[in-house]
Amino acid sequence: MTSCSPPSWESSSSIFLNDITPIGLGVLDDQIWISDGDNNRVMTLDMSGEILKTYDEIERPMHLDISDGKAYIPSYGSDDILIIRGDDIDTLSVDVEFEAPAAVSVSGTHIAIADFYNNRIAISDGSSWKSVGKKGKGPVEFSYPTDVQIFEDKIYVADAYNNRIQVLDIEGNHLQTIGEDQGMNAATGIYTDGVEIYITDFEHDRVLIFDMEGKVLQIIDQGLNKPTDVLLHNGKMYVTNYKGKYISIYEK
Amino acid sequence: MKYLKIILIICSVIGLTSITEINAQKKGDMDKFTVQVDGLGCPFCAYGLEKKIKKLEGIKKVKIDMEDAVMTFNYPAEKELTMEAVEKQVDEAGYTAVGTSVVRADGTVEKNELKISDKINQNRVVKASIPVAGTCGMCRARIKKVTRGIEGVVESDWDEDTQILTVKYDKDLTNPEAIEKAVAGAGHDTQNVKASDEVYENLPACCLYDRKSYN
Repeated sequence: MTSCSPPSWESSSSIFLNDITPIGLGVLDDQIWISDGDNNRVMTLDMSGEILKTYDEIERPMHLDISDGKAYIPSYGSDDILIIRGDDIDTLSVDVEFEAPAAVSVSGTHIAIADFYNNRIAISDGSSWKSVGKKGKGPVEFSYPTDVQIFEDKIYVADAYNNRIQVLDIEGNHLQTIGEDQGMNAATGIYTDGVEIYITDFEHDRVLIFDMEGKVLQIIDQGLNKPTDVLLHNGKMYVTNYKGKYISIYEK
Repeated sequence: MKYLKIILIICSVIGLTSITEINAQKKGDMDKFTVQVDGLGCPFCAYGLEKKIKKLEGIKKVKIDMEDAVMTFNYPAEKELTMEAVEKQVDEAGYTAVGTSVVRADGTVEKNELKISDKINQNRVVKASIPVAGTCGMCRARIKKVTRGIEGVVESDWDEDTQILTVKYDKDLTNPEAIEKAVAGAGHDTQNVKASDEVYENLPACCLYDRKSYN
């Protein structure tokens, strides 16, 4: 009888970023989008790491998102969400106040924003906004959320300093808490494809991979240096390394 | 007549000095502050410091060099902001200023660096290892600063992996109880002294260690 366990992710290659300190990561039309927080800029690169375009003077850009051909950039420094399309930069109109937006996720008409200092998640259904959460350790309580992703009808939150993942429904109600027992220290970047959930463990230089029920499938703890964000693209896993200034690429 | 001339000369000198001071500190002139902030490893906390410092009235632009952990900003000279006030603001925001300098608008330079007390007698120096809770480089910076600020402490360091504070001190000037109290006052639970909830909650995000350790 053969084992049915899924194949593991294996280190494949790296993209070195020179003076870029990567925090957020996105992909659009085979171009990598990176928020370079330390240098107050957002950059696009080709898949080999060659810089294509730089958007300067964006105050501390964080976990960005790509949707419908546009890049959504949370500016942690100016408390704005910027929308970039080509050379045009607009500001997203938001009806709730937030302080230090650390991440934005856009899916159809829905938008979710990680409101870092208010310990809340701002949610829009396309017509109105509301905020859910407060500081704490219980359900729908957060300790400085740093990343969000809307996937289908759920919101996945990197509840950074509670060292866990929280899954909410699209209205902001608690569904699931994942990874509390994994000894993470700063769960900073989150991604899901609906099959697995990926989270970066910043201080411990790890990426943890869970199934949708919260069971650990794999822990990557080699070759990372202060990872901040993770995503899948064309069957590969990309991880930004803030301190190391490189993107780690993994394949199954 | 001779005394009158002397008085006139003194008045002229005082008058010139005042004019020079007014010229040096006229509206628009800026003092340039440089603050070495220890333990800035996490971007979320570092950028938070920047936001908090910007809330000081009069500051328009703060620059943080993450590689060198140096924060610089300009401040209106006529407000006479002191280095102590800047360090207090940084410390109250939960960060650790370990050295501050300012180039005043008139060109004078001031520096604020930690000095070890001259009352210390090396023959009385002993070593202690004290369990202290923390999580990161910023915790280490804070614990080091608060302990080195205690009269009688010669050296101190905290290890993130072992969660142990190692401290050398003059036993006639301080003791482990006082050291633990000071560390707890900065937000870190020690083996025998628990930090207040209020101070703990004000620590930067990445310093929020697991409090179960000393319950």
